[in-house]
Amino acid sequence: MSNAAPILSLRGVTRRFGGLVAVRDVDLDVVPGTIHGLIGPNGAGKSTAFDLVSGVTPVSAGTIRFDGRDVTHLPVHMRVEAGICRTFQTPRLFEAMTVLETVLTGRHRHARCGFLGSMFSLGAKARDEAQQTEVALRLLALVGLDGEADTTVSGLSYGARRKLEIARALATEPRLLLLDEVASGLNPVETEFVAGIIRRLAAEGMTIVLVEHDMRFIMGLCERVTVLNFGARIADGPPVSVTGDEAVIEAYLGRPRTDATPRREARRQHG
Amino acid sequence: MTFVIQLMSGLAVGCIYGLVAIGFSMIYRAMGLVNFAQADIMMIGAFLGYAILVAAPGIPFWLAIIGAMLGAALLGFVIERVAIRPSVARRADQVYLVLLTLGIGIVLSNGARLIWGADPVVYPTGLTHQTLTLAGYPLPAVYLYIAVVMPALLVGLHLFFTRTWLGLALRAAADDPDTAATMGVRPALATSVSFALASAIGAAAGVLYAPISYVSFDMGVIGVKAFAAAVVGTLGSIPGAVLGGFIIGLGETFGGQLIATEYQDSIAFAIMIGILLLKPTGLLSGARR
Amino acid sequence: MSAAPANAVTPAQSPAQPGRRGRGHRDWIVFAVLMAIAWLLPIWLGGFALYLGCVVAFHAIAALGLQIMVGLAGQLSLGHAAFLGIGAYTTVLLEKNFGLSFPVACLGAVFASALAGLVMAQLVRLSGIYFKIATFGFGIIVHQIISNWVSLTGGTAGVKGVPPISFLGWTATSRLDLFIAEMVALTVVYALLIRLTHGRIGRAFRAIGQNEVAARSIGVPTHRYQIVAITLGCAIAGLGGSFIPHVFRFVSPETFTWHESLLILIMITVGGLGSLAGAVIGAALLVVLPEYLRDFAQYKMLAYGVFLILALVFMPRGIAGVGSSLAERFGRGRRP
Repeated sequence: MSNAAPILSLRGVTRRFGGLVAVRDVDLDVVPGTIHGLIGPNGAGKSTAFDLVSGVTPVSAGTIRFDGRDVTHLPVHMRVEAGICRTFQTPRLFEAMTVLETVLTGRHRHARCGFLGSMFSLGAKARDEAQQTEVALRLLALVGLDGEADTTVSGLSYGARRKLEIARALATEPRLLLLDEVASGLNPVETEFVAGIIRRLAAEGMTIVLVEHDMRFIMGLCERVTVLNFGARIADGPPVSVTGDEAVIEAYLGRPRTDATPRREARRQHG
Repeated sequence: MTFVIQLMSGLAVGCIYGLVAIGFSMIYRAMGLVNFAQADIMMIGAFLGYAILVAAPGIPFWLAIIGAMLGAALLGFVIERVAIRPSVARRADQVYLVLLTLGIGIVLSNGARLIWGADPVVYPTGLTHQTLTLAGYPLPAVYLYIAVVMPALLVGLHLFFTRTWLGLALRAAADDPDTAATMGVRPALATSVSFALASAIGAAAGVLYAPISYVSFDMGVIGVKAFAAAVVGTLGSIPGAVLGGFIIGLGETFGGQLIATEYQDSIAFAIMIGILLLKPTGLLSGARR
Repeated sequence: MSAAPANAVTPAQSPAQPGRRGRGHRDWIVFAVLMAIAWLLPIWLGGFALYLGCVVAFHAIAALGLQIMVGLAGQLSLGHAAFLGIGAYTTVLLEKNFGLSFPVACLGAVFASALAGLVMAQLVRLSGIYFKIATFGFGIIVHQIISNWVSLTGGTAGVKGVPPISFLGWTATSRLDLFIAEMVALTVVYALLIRLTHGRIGRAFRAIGQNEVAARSIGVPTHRYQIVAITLGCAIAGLGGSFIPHVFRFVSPETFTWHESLLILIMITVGGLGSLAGAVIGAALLVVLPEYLRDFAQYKMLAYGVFLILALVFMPRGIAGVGSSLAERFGRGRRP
């Protein structure tokens, strides 16, 4: 399954914040069309890794390639242009917009109506808007929010906010979708619903990377899992082999922080 | 006007800007808020000093300074409690908080106008007209006070922040509210105290500035250049505020002399914009906060 | 589990759209009502009310510009009066010194303000609060230049003898003519901005204003759009400013102080941040109210300050916000 050239590939990616190393020399390959899990205990550097791939935070060292192209220093919006889009650990939405407007905003780079066009055009703008609205409504239906299209975002439930953020990200038509703790805060029904969406997207050929610390969610979904601890990769492989990995078990259960560091160094070879 | 007089006047004004800028920086550091009312608190401080000098003729100038500082501290404390905290607690947007402090500034300056009138007043103390002679140059006597009070306040602040429990607690609360809370520092207390302290320092600046110029409800505009100072030296940094104060004070004095004194304010802000274009978060941004 | 969203990806039938265009329509209804009042009330009352209408109109235009920058794109400017000033002086100087007709001079004013705005917009790469303070400095610098460049602007004495507005042989001889000219400008700007906010660009502005990181994360080039929003806001201020010499028949630096910047900020805040209607309502309120509280003139600024604080504390979404939540409640009440 890993014969295909990776769609996303990290080499030696490091991020320092002052003296703290949040992500340390991480290598990662994501196979196109797969669901890839990025797990690890709290503070392992998962979200920082997402920030680096999506461009929210610049890397301190290393390279990030997407679809064979070096995107290490591209600004965020150019990475979206290239086909990378993400959600956030705590949904970041446009509170005063309606649900529909939010998804339409995600259509930004696909809609064509320009500055003068927005103000002066008669037919073209209306057609463009109608087209984008149709796409947005379809996406809202996908995430089960089609009944809420005209609700103001600030009035949404937590689960709805998560789903809306997914719909907004999908509106950019990404080839690589990064979902940051997409199941956290959801009830079991919602979680299963979101898992269904993710499977469906993957089946349609989208590549998805999930950051999660809920092991069960990840194990049921992912074809491949990478484990981070203290910013470094400690394991990488199919879920089954990873769950059996001693370093992983220790990272999750043992957590004797003081002696974790030397052992982690010893087990660097995993994956 | 000779170079030495220019230099001394630039340094003196720089001290004033520096003091007001320290107030901005302290509040910014304590609660991430840019307090646009700080300049008006300085103005209120100057009026409090005036009220004290009028009410008790012959009172020593340093007592007027202390009285004004105490009054302003109380005012700052109340403003923080009544107007600012509820909005911060609500996690209001930055735009909103800026507007709120602007509104407080308007109320302060126009409140002062109601109380003390629209016409500028001059301190009824000999200090206003006294001069002292330094190496043959006549200089306003109040420079002496500035030269003493400014370093004294700086040393006092340094000792407060490094030696006293409250000062350490304030720093802890600014850097990491959660840890501070476990130490028993309520973040709310920390912000109130910071506000009171910043107001007191602003008031000192106002009283020290008054004899050089005059006191009026719209003198807050002068204190506004202290923004420029605080920003130039990086918001949140006390040494930066002092450095920025001197840069703006000397820059506008000498720049005004070189170009045209009418453009002094413009020069102050042009210096600020220029420095920000080179160092987008101020000169001391590299240093630890 | 894939059963749930199975039919969802396929376009098929989009769900019915009851009230889909609700918000858009409401904006136009509010537009119609507001403009009807703004046009008719001053003309009907005449006299002093007409003069006030003239003052409201240019303030409303400027406030709309600032609303785009601050309320939508979230770029707080503390120097908006500078751009009114640039517009006012450019207009009057082009008219007086070059004998240009008002529309041409006005175009020049818009262009000059836009250019100055574009220069200021370069500062957006400064982070948040640094940018705000820089805009304040920008306002001070412009004010000092118009106060002191005596040979060009007449300094603090100002410019007198402003020629009347003329356009293709038509000359605005009366105050009513001037009012009509202003209202045409206001109506057109307001309508165009509604169209802008309903489209892709307006949404990008609002996205940046509401959550910059999120906006960037879905591919909005935030810096570019911030610069566009600031330049647009300043250009509109220039348009509003170009009427000032005609309304007051005189122009002096006094009009463009920090207080004017603050006043326009208060207008959009009291009216409702982010609402175009709010900008117009706020402008009307803050021009008209103080005039009818003349006996308390010395309390004017104090009242502004108190007004601002009360508005922020009790109606964070301004008058427009109160209006739209009332409308929502009313609408919901009717629908079962």
